[in-house]
Amino acid sequence: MSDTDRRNFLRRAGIVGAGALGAGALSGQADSANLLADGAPQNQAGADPAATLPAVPFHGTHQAGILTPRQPAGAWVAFDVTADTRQQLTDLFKAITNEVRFLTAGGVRPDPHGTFAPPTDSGTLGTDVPADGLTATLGVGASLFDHRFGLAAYRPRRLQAMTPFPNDNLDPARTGGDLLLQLCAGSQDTVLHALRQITRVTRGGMQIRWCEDGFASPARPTGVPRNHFAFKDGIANPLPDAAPQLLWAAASEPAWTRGGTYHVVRIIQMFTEFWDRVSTQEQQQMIGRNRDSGAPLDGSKETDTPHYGADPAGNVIPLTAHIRVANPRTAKTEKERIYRRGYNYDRGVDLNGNLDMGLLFNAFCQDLDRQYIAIQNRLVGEPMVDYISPVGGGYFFALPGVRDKSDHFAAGLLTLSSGAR
Amino acid sequence: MSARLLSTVAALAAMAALTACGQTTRTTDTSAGPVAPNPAPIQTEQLLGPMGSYETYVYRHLATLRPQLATLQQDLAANNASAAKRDWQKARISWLQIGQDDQQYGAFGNLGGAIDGLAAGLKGGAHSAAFTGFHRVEYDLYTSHNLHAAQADTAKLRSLVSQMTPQTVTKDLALTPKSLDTWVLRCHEILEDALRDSLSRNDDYGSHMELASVSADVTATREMLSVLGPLIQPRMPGLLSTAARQLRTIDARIKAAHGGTAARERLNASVSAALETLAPVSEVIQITNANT
Repeated sequence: MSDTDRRNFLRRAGIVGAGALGAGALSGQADSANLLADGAPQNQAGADPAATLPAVPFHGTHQAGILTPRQPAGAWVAFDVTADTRQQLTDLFKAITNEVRFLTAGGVRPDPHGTFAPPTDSGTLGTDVPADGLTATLGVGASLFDHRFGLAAYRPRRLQAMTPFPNDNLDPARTGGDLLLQLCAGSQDTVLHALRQITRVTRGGMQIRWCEDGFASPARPTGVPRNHFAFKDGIANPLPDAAPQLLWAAASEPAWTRGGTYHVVRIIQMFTEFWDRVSTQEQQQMIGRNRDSGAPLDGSKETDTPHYGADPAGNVIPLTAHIRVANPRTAKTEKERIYRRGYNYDRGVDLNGNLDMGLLFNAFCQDLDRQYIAIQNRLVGEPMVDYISPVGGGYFFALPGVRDKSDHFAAGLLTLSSGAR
Repeated sequence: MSARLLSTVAALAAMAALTACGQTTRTTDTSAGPVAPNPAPIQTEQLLGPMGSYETYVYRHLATLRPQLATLQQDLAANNASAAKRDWQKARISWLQIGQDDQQYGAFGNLGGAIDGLAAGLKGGAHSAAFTGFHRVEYDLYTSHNLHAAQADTAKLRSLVSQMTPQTVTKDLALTPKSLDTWVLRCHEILEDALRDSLSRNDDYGSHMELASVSADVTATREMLSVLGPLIQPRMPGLLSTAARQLRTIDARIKAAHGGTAARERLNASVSAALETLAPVSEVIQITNANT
């Protein structure tokens, strides 16, 4: 691949020139060179619409789709498990594993029954299925560790149902779930093809509880992509080398969780009409960054670090500004930092005729309480809450990676005996 | 072609070029006109009079509200559900006309939230003990149909409203530059809330009285524009008349809004249009260096 292609993919993934995920972040165990684009970015004028992303390796210590640079399209699908027994649950995870293993590699799917049965692939990507950078990241919710499958003793220590923060408006139908599948790929048809195939081979074992599509905007014009409020979102992600301290499950967690991480999804509606009625100055005071450049209000470019110590009264960056409250950049809050991998969403129109748009807040962290929940508790009542409404989502534990062809999702958990620790 | 016509053509061409360069063209109805050149900066003292008028307005509505709540309490004691619903609605409208809804924007602080908060952000939702006030009683009357609970919750609501004294109101409407600026935001925020929470039924616990709520919100918005009018008029000469016309349109469309989707769309459109007009007010009526 040429340097230009590599750069284009990185830009499309929102990581060029930002303090976000560096190339070293690519999929943990993956050979990073394989991840980079062989085709031009889809969002670039004149790009080949048929270009696809190369395959992202499925097997590894960690799942892909966590440190993998953001692909352009995604879907977040929560499922309730309808299997009755531990064996059926194991079969469900095996079926998901096998399907994801095929989809992430791509190829021509065998059709053993020929014309005597419906085809095994929906065919929406053509006969020769492209991998198109697909990642399928599977997580489990706290509800899976109830009485049904004898897993209660093995629940990750911080895993819990998402209860509302004071400014939330969570719809139970769009919150929680036994499982969460994050599908990301080079384009939306690749994502939806994967969803159809995975649900097809798991019928009877699980039912979709909620499903949200998201897209990663291209850089406008450079750097980290913008959200619907026009601000660059995800600038201050920790670097991948901090993952042992900030991302992957801690030693204090049950042994089966090694290589996994907590996954936070929040469906945050953004009242864009209202936002567009606010002056740029006021918007910037709420966020703490320059809307055009992404720079903190005391800096000149998006990668600049804000210096709160030099501005204790908040004269330049208000004390209530989103970036200042979320990440005060003190020694104490350093261990709270999370890996954000957010997407924008658009789901039509609201009952009152306003656009239904928002942020698919999507983040990973080592410890829900110490990191995400601590940050969000601090953000309660921030000025921006008038313009947003978290309406759904959930807390999940993204499983350890599937190591090889003989392994399957959650194998380390499902082989533990019921009731014992 | 005459010289005059030529210059007209040139002017039109220049306008067309401007439009092509991204000059905004709006629906005629939302045009509030330009800001007057070099508007005089607003001094804190200039907002004290309007704020005083608004406080008087608040006390007048509280004086109406308190006996309405007493009547509601009597309805419940008499186990009369239909009278209770009627009187809850009357009290609700009196409250909304003050210009506070659903604890948005922190008006009247925690007390305002206890009187008019939603269940959404509470652990346990509508079953939470922290869910109090108007919507709690609405839930009792219209959703759980529990008059016994409504009695206790109305007593709680009355107690909360009785705490809205000049002392507490003055505390929440403090006369600092910052809080005066926050207060000015209500020129548009009351109606923003009507669109976001009432017309979406996001704040509905069974009474379905969003049309009456929006009407009350329009009344409150009118009061804000009235007390701030003398400051707005010289700075945005076209705004008040446009806003007044648009608020009248909302009134008319509320009356017609029982007629299904098309009528509702027309109402939503009129509220949205008024909001576009009102958006600049808080920027123009802003105390310089109030961020302290």
